[in-house]
Amino acid sequence: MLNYAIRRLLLLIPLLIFVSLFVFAILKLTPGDPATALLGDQATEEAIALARAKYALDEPLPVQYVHMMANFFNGDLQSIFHKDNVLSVVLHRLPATLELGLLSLLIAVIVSIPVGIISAVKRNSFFDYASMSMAMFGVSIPVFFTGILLIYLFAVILKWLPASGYGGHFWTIEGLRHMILPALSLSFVLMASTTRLTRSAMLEVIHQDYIRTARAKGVSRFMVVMFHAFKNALIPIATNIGNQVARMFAGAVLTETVFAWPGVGRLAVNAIFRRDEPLVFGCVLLMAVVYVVINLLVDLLYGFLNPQISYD
Amino acid sequence: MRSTRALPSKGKILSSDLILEVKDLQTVFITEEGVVKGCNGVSYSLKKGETLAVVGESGSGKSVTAMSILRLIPEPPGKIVGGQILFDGIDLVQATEKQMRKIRGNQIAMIFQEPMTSLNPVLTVGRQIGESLQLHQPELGKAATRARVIELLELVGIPSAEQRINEFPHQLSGGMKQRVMIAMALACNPRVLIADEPTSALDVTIQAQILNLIRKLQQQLGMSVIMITHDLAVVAETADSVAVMYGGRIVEYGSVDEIFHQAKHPYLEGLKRSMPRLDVEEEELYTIEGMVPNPLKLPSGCPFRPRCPQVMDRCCEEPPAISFSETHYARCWLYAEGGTDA
Repeated sequence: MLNYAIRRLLLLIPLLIFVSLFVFAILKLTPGDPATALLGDQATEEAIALARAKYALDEPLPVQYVHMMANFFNGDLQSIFHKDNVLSVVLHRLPATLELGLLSLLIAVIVSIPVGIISAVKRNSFFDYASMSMAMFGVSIPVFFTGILLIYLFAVILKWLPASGYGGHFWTIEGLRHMILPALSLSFVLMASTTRLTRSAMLEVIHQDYIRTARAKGVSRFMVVMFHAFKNALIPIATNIGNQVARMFAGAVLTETVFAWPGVGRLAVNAIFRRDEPLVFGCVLLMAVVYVVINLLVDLLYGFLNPQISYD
Repeated sequence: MRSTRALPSKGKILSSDLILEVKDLQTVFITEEGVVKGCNGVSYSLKKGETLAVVGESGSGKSVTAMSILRLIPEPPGKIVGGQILFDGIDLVQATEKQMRKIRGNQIAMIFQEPMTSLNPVLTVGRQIGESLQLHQPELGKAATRARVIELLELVGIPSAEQRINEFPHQLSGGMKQRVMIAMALACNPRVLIADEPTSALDVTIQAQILNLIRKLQQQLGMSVIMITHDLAVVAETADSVAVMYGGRIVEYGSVDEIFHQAKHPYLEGLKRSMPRLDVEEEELYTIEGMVPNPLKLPSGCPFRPRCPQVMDRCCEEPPAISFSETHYARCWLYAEGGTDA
């Protein structure tokens, strides 16, 4: 298992090279120039040339790429706008994003798994139709729109919760009050897809022969569902959650923008607008690392869920 | 003859001890295309220590009857609409779910056709066998349960039981899985074992092993067995009595001798003739003409009528049960008063 984890982490190296090349290419293919963006339209040619020299923008592209990579891994990459080390800027913002992601994940799992199980057990009931309609709605509606609707309802009309901003960690009351709406809007997609998947996975498992065996042993219907069936259904459910967490990061960019959340997503968006190339580069690379690590954790979790998988 | 509450201790076999009695059982499935009579007025009885074989093609209602006894018919679409299943003085058709839970796996246990898919893939073998014990004998405690599971695995002939207990089903072969299923069924010393085609999914060499195992354990533990099968060879090898089912009802019932030597119903005749034989040189294996009837469109009267080589006009009417001995009857117009009609 340890060997497997190490092998997977080693795969990070080619992956990061690929991602970095891709990001770099996109940055360079975008029209405009960081120096002009920094100095404004009124800047003299000389000032722009100076700035270009300062940030090594006048070098050939391959040289620029190698520079950027070397600086990133040395921890010397400087953000143009923040005048600070990219790594420290991103790491400073990362906790807010992770907290938001974690809370959304928690909300999504706590709601969707029980709802999915009940929908499967009470198939074709009113509850089933209602929850599946809600799930359809959740899958279809864009994240930023749910965010706006939530703000309108809970902050503008009901005035229960603040409309935007960060209020501290989620274990403080003020922090939690600020985090509920963005976390809720971010959790919608995951909640919807997990509910649907839990339902279908449970329906599939409930008709398996081993469920009949368990019933023939005298196991109660409730225990058959919760223990025998759910333990099997958990395998596809965990896969889905693992995949969706990645989509949640993408969603975080939108949610953080709507809720003025000081996380990595909004940092990246602002960096793009400001043509802060080193910062965009750093943000994307870090997100890629987080994504790979989460996926690795999910894969390792399989070993516990599914005895037919071994990592030797 | 009703089953009595106080049964003699195990090992002492009295031929008059009725343990399970199915009376006029009717189970239907309500589908979109119509009502399927899965089991249409089936009656049979099981004595202590006896093996009753229920024979028939797929769709004849033999499994439906067995699943009805344990009340494991998926509801909906299934439903028991009539009859009685008398076990230990209670009618299982009327029993509450709580009563049934105490009977399932404890008094009446079942093994299934597909050992490959009948074990939960994410639980260890030991956990699955132990579950029965924990449910029905919670006073045992952890260590005693574990010891009993090992004992059971040894009983069904699984080597190095101490290690196997921690293995998962995918680590076992098909025959081993069926042995585990048997161990699971025997965990609480049930009085009745229902074996639903226990050998159909196994290799021929393993089949004999499993049948011998069931027979040996039956004698050891004094159980009664309902052996559901479509294989007459299995019947000859294991049964005391035989119920032949066709189209959801019993068409012939008798002792194993009567069934093999004095078969009456044309369906049973056909079934016997379609068994391959080594002692007779035949060009081609005999087959019963036609197909198993669509359960939605069962013909009136005798369900075997469209395929019967001796069909008569009277067969459109419900055939009577004609007795040939105390234990032997067939449901066929051929033997009714007047015999073959003009």
